[in-house]
Amino acid sequence: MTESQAASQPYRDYLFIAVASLVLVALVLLSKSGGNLLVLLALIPAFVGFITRSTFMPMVFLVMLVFLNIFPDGNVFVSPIPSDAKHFRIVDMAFVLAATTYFVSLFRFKSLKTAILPATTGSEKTTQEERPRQVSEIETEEYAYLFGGLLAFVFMASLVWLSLSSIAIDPTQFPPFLWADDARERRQTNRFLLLVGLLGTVTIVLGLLFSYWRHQRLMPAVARQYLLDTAWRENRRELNRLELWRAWGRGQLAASESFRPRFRTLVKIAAFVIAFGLALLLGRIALGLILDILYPR
Amino acid sequence: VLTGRGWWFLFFAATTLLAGVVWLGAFTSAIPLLGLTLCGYLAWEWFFFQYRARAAGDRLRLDRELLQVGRAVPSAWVGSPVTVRLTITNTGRASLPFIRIVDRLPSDIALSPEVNQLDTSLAAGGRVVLEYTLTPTSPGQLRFEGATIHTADLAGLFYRRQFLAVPREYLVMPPLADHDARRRTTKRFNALPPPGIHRLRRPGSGDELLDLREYRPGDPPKMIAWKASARRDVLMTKEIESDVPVRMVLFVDATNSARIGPPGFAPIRRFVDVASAMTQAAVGNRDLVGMQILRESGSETLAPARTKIHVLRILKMLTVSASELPQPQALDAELTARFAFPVASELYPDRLQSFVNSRPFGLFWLPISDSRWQYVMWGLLGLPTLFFSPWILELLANISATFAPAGKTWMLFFGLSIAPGVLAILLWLLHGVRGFLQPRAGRTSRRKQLAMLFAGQDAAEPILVERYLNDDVEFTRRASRFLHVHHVRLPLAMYDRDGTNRYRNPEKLTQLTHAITRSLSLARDNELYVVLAELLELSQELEPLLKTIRAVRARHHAIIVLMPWPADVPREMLPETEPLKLGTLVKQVLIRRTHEQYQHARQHLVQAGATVMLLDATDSVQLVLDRLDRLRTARVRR
Repeated sequence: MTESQAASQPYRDYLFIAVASLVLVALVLLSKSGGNLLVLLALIPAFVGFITRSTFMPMVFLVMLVFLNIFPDGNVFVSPIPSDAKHFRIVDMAFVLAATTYFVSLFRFKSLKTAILPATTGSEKTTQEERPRQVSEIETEEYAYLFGGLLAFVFMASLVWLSLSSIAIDPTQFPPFLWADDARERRQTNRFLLLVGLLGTVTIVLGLLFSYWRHQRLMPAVARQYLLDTAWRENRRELNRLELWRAWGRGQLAASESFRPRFRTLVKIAAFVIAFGLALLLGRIALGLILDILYPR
Repeated sequence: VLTGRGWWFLFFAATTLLAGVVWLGAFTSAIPLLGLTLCGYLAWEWFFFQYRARAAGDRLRLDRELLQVGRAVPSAWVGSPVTVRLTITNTGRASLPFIRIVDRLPSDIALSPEVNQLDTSLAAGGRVVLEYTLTPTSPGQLRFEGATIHTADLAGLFYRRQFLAVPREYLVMPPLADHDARRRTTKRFNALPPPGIHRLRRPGSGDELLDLREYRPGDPPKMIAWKASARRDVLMTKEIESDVPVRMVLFVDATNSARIGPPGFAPIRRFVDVASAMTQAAVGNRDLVGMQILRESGSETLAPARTKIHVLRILKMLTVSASELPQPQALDAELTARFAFPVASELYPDRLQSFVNSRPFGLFWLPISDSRWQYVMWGLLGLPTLFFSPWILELLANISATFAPAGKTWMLFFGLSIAPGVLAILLWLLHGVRGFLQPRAGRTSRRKQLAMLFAGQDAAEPILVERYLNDDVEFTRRASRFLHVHHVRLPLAMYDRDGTNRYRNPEKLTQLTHAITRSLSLARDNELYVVLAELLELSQELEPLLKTIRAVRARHHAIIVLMPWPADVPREMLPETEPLKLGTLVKQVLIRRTHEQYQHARQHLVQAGATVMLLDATDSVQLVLDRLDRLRTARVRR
């Protein structure tokens, strides 16, 4: 094996993993559609995503997957048939595992071929040239962690889905949860509320954990600035008032030290006097007109 | 931070999850399962990324070394390649699967692109070394601020940038003696004195005959010129030339006006090059060299000597002078903030985060009480007090009755009654909301973040933050100091509205005159004064300097004035073109003025007895040395 072939090995690994995943996805889709080969068209965006290394095409592929799961034969004129949620189906799990593997492989492939640090938006926008991840850094454990992790995710997701489908919220009881058959009547609302609750709980717990850790690990200079910022926020209005008075005092002092009536100031005063006189005159005329209307002679 | 790729992925995964759980889960389990798996994967990546950022990213340590020939050195030399070695150590407990280390480069160096970067992974407790070579191009200081560390997950969904600030400054000395400062080997006169000894046309104890004079009692008999005595029939005595060392004193102008110029071509850089080469050439000839550096804060003096340590001391003083940036004389707070903010964002990203540098909603609100519009508002709010007057009430009622349709009179009456209040509220609202609009909001935000950063750096009280927010002068002063520390050049406005040069410094002449007079008072036999100063702007006010030059010449010493020619002004006048454009005209006027200033200064300095040389940006140091050498030896040539 030449050096260049060895260098391109990791790309090929991820390429093969992604292609294998797509084959598995295709098999599942074919089995669901009863052998309709047209469903294979859904794989086109997936391949385009690989060839062009576009970020958007895999998302199109995801939408196609969702579509083909609702309408397995692609016929949108037939209403989908509601079915009871079934859990831990091997076909579903294999499908999900394959699809997720495809996405992860694609992103890692893109990091190796195009850029691992894409230009981001906002203040973090980087001007540096996009460079791919160096091939020499790839370790063999990556693949093991990838497959192991994804299997665990699919299993955990199945467990969560089982919980979401089987638990209902009943605020009249304590604890406010019902299990299994009792939950079926309000299934969709329950799922939504449970999902929101689950996500909220996880986010808050993790957010608090990382926030605490962040505070605890602050560097002395940053910690000092944190305290300074807090003190400034608490006293901002008073300090602002003080500074404004100070600035006013400085201005007065400077003016008194170098008082020199300027032509511009004189023009302003004259203009103000003329404008005020005109306003008075116009007001007087307007009032006269209004009084003439209200009290005709 | 989520990357663009990450945002797309999050959006579609979350949509799939939501649609699957709320709606599509009724038809198939695969979709919610897919959504949950994708979101779970993303959450896991995020969790691990955060964990690694805290456990490893925040615990990186950076060490820097400057190496030359494999040894760590405290300074570099112009034109000599130097290796920068960066060692990043991960003292944390987690590993980083991918990091990119980008060393922030100092200015005035030559470097092939992209060698100051390294992509690698970093295990817990491990270290990586980044080495690259750079070549300093001009004397001064190399300031290394630190290195930027980019961290990402393997899929490129999350990204973090941090800056390991470990500022280090290294002096860049002028080039050491090579062909520019070799000791002379060419023989110019038949009687070449030994190195370090120069002939002085005064009676002394050298070897060369200076003159003959009549014998005076006490003259040594061996000095009697017998042949001449026989010819004249009077005893004649030989007078011998004096042999003395030449003492050269350099007067280097390091004031603000000498630091202005295009990067790398400021007069001070040229002075340092020439002074360094002259010092080494003189010491190579065993001459004594002293130096006086002129600054706004006062002059710094080194007495003449010729040891190696003395030369290094001179070079160090010159280097420190060359590293100073010009102090801007007139600056706009907004302009300074626009320059300072990108530097702060790059070097102190952790101190600009909203977590430690907040920008509350009220910061952007413009209180009407701070403006004159408040009187209008109070006036409007006070108008309803007129309703206590029955006459006003009757007037309003009549207006309502006249202009409103029947049955809706009260509506018009009510509207007229509350109209001033509504107008006042509108005024207050419009005035306040303007602070949230761009570009004012951007300006406020930048200013607040910088103010907090500066106050934090100075370990100051919170009131300083407000002062920097409200006081333009204080803010500008502090921001320009910040930029000065980080070697960032600000655009300089040379002339004010009246056309006066802001950087003109007449005190410099007084300082220079005092320095020369002081040296003159300590002078011995054979002194050479070399003045390296920017005098073009002061060409009309040279009288004190001319007096001093005359005094120097009266004591039989030599003085050479080296004046820099501005790098951005051509040596020839621009040809007049038709049609004449305004820009060309201004340029021509400025060029003509510079030429006239030079001619005027040159004429008066030469008349006073000084030798004037123009330091062009393209002159090589060797050329200047040759010309100087001719000038130094010409006066002893018979």
